[in-house]
Amino acid sequence: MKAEKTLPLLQVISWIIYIGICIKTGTIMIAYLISIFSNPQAAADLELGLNLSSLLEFKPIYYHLMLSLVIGIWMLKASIMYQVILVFKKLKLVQPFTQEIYAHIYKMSQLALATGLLSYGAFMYYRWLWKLDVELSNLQEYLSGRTEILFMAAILYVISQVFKRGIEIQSESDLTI
Amino acid sequence: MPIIVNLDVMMAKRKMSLNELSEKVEVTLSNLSILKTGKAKAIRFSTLESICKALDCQPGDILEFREE
Repeated sequence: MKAEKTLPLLQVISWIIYIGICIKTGTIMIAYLISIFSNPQAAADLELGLNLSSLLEFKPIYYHLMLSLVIGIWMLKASIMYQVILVFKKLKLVQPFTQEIYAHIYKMSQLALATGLLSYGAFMYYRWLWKLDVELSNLQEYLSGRTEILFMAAILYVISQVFKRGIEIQSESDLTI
Repeated sequence: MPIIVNLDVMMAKRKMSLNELSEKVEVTLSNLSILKTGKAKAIRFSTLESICKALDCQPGDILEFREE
């Protein structure tokens, strides 16, 4: 079966993406901690040119809030990816409809909703700061994809409900003699 | 469920064991056990036909409707 062969491949790809997101999140977190506790100049290059030194100089509390939002969003994205890994790990095409897979997909939809809402909040905050004439370099890149994530949350919710129905049908089929 | 499976009653009447019935109707022991204990949600006509043949009875002898 072709689909069965692609599952391990998808799992490997998911692991690569997950590790990538974790590295990105970790880099921002470490740079953030350095900028607070040892060297404020670290705010000038938090991750791949992310420069929030102007914001730190403007008002440190705004800097902390923005970085907390960015780190929170990326941590949520990593959690979504981890759920994807678990789905590919546990999915068996012979009997795909299990309570475990349903729980992971449902959790993914909730995490995606939280990510989308947090990204929207962060983007509104970004626009508000932009109106205050604070230079925020390429921060917008880190807050992109909010509408897509919200749409993905809705799709995942629908898929989870289809799975829920699938579990019922499968259990009925299993108990048909 | 108001549908009662009287498979054990018919098997006792015919003095047939679950193993013997399983061999005759070509249904696994675990599936017959599910049917016997009333855990089954549905029964195929083909399975019912085989059971009726093996036990020499009518579907009504195996299945019974009892209002709760």
